[in-house]
Amino acid sequence: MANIMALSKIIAAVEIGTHKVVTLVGDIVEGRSLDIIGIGEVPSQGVRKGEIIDLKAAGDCTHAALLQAEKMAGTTIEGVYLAATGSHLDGFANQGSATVSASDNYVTAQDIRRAVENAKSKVLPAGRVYVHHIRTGYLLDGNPIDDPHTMCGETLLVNYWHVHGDEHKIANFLRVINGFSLNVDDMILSSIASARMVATNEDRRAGVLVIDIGAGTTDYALYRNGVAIRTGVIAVGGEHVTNDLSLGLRINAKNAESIKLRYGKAIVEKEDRNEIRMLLGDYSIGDRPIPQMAISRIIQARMEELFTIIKNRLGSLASQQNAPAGVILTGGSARLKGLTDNASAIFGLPAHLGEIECCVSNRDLRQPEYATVLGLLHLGAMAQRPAESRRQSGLFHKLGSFFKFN
Amino acid sequence: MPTEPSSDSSLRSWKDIGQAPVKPLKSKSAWERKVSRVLNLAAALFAFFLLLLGCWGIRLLWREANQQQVLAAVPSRQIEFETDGVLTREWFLHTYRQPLESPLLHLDLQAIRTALLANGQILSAELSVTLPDRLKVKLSERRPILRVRVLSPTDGKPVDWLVADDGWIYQGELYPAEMLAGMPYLKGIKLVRSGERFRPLESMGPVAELLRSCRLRMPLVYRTFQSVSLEYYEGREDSPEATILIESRAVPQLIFSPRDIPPQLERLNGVIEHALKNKLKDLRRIDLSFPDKAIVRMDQPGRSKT
Repeated sequence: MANIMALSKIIAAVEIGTHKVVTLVGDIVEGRSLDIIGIGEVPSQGVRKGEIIDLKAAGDCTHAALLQAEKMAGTTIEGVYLAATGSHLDGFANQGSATVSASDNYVTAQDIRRAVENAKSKVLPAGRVYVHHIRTGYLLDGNPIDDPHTMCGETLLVNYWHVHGDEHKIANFLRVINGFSLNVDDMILSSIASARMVATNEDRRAGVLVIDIGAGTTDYALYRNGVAIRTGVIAVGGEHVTNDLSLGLRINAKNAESIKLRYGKAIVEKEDRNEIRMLLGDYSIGDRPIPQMAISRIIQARMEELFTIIKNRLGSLASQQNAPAGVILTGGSARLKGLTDNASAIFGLPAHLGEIECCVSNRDLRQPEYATVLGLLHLGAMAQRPAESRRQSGLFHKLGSFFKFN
Repeated sequence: MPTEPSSDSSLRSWKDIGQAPVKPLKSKSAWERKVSRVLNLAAALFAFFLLLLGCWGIRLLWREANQQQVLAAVPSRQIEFETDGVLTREWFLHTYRQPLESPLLHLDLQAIRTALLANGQILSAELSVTLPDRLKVKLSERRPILRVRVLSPTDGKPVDWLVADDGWIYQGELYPAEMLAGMPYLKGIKLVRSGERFRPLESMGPVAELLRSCRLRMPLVYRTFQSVSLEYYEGREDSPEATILIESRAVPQLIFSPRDIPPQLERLNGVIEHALKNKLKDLRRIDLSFPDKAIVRMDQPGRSKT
């Protein structure tokens, strides 16, 4: 019993999305199984395209989700791992260099540190802050290597992918969490969190492009050699598809959403030509026929545009050579029929819908829309230090949680 | 993927954004959580308090059970206990638990009696058995008149023992604290050890009579008594020069003769009345040991009155 307790950790992950706010409180046991002991899910308000536009509304729904998860978990959340998204997030590649100082040309820790500092020394414009520094690889005398320490060479290069964002927009997210008397322990890109869940280690090592299509934003991450070498956020998501349908079919947003969920397809197929769908589906007054072809075309166009944007941003990196594992789609809007075919056609790479198999015992959560928050939980657990894992095991906490006034 | 915070403003990371907002964003859920945590903490403290209370209660119950155990250990019989002092039935059952565990017919009454009398507090003990199941214990206890500071025979630490009116010196049990606090100390004598006890003092009769008479006739004066010195009494009880010296808060020295106590107390009463009437506050010594006289010494040396 003592051994089991020593290996059990409790962490909380929060995703404040455009469509929903999800909080998960998880218990990682021996790194093998992820037991979700608390779930809070509340429709999102005050968030548009992944950014907070109404602080109070966003705060209310986020706090409600946090409280929900806490009550279910029966424990007090002490810290939070937060998903970072929004079109304000941008990235750039930078390389740092250092000449090997030792006379015998063996690379030392100081050489590595100098190269890293050089890579991280780029000044950001005012109002921007760094979110991630992702080391993508070393080059020693032009040769890629995993670990240059004690290797022989003259010039050490280190490549980084830096992610930065708008300070005020990030501060809004922090303020929402702080309003619940919690601190954000770490902030992780949504795309990286999603990739953790839907891409295997082999996929990430070989090279894979993970695309998380949410309601307000689409986050992507290109992996190679196990690290994300490119990331990005596009302020286009499932809501835009709904808007397109609403405008294109001249229907209200509610019906457009319904049509999308019932008949949405991201690729036009032969049989769509003759298919007619009913708007409401119950032949009541106001119900009218809508050609399936129209629905498919609208959605296909939007998704093609989205994938094309991503492809253009990645440039030559989006290739079979760099992503032999292909494209993995995830997120709530990735369920659209034919989306993988659409993606495959645009990228010229095999594409499939990401599956969440490992580490999640709760079947209801193995859905694409939970990939981000699950990945966040997993990454948070890996980052959790052993001393922190018993923060909530003090006597008063245990006594306090025994008497639940919730 | 942690990013180290930077002190250089141009290399700031999100971790440099303070997480202690000046205006906290409070929602209904946040307030609900806060209230819940306060209530949880209050409940935890209350539970802790109950735990302490429970421990204290358990301790009381244990002591009670212990006493009951003592009673229960004694085979089912009626024990009548009677004393003219402060000892109790529970004391008797607890102190003599082991011998009382024997069946009634096999009780060694003599051994119990001997053990009782070995306790200096007990003057006499009568034990009788009435079959089928009754044991009667009747005790007479000594009356303490003085305290004496001795070194304990067991651990050598100074401790107060009691001196009875018949000269016995004993530890004493179950006397009320206020009674002992008002008892004067005995001084000016040499105690002789006898095993773990002390040899009884001889000729304590007059001393006991003096103190008893003072307590009854002049209680206010008695309450001021701090010590009784037998320095000029012990060993010369029959000598006309034998005196009993009492130190008191009212008059530092009161000297009595061991003979004819009542007239001495009358003279003392007269002196006190005279002193009160004439507002004399500087009485240092009143010597009542001379017949028909009371020699009073005032505070100024050389000044004495008869």
